[in-house]
Amino acid sequence: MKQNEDGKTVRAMDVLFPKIGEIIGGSQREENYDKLLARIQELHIPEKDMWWYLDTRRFGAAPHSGFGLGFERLILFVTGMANIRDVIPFPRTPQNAEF
Amino acid sequence: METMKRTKIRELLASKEIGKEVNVKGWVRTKRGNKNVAFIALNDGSTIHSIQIVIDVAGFNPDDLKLVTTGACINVNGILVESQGSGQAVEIQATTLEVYGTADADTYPLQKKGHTLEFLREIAHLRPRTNTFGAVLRVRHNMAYAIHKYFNDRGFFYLHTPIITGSDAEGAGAMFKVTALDLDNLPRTEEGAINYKEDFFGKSTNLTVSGQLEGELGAMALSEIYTFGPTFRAENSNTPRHLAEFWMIEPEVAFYDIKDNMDLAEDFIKYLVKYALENCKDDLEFLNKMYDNELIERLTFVTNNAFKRLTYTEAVEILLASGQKFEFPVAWGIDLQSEHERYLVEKVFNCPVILTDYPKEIKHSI
Repeated sequence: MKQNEDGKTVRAMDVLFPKIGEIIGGSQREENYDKLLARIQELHIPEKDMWWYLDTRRFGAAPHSGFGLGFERLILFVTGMANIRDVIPFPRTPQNAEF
Repeated sequence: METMKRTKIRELLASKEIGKEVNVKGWVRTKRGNKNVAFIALNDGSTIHSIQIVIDVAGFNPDDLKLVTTGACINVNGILVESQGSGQAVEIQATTLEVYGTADADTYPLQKKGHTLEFLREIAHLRPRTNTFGAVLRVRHNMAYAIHKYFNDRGFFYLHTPIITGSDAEGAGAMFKVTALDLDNLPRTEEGAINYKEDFFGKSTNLTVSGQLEGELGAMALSEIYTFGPTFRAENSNTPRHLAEFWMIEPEVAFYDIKDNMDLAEDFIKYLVKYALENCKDDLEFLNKMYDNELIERLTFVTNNAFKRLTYTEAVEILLASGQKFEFPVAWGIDLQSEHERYLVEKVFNCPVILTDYPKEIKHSI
């Protein structure tokens, strides 16, 4: 996530919905190689696993953003159902992989 | 019996072709009647509505009619006629009937009485045959279609990101391990650790928790992409909002800043909700009536009103000034809990809220 100039906050966003809570989480991504590398080290992510990701900041880096929408949370909102197990045909939950 | 092309019940109920000979196939919801006439409510999943089949008992083999019970699957030829009593404009006067599959009344679990959602979860192989799950599954399909349509219409490309991932860096929580090793006879290194070099991929692999990182690779070439696929979390969260396997939609866009990102998110969700209101009317009306009397009102509200946008810092100030007692006390720097989020959404603003600019310490993904 891209750091703001205040040094304290990041350009993350969450969309919060009535009854559901967080339905979308996203951010503007960090496109600066050095800042991204520093963040990877700070989070103790093995640098050698991330060479390909870091490469996009070495070659033709661009500002970019994205988000994730949980499909079942959307369906919860649109159908008014209360339990996420009831908006997917065959739910997978702890101790349950039937069907 | 004579072979005819099947017509879906959804089309038949909208048909004006009174007197036409038609074929219909589906599952029996109910059968009632007397010794002269039987009425079958038949559903094929094409719509929440069932069509009424009228049987003049004298013209049919009584042994066949005995097999027509709730849950049985039947194949009917008949004439489309105007209906007086079915609640629909049309019904079918049956001429011939074939039973494809019986459903023993003593053992078929979906008799016509209402079942609890908890019970239906235990028979998830049969619950698609209920009105509720028919409605939910049709809405789910329509939303999946609308997602692809939304992005395709705007020049986004659908990028397939891998399900099996060699990195565990997405920062989104516990992962399921993927391995082809013999768990009863694990290869070990000299130090005694599991030797993943001998595993299928020559390294440790997991099921993906997010397509974001690979999505970014696509955006750095195609400019606008989205993913739409299953993701997995091995978290032991037995709550009404968590699944171990769920689907995510992840757009990733070159040249977008956070403001563009918010605009896309808001437009996207409003489009989807509007699509549901316009294309899933019968199913939403059923769900509104049975489960949530404010559903359609809430969906309409979301499509018509701007989402409230504010920073994390502003949200914390509002929560601190609210005088509300929270289980988790509010202070700048805390990860907002659902009680805080719901207070903002449901009590302060009464509309969807977009929070931005979080403290970097509480956002663990890169």
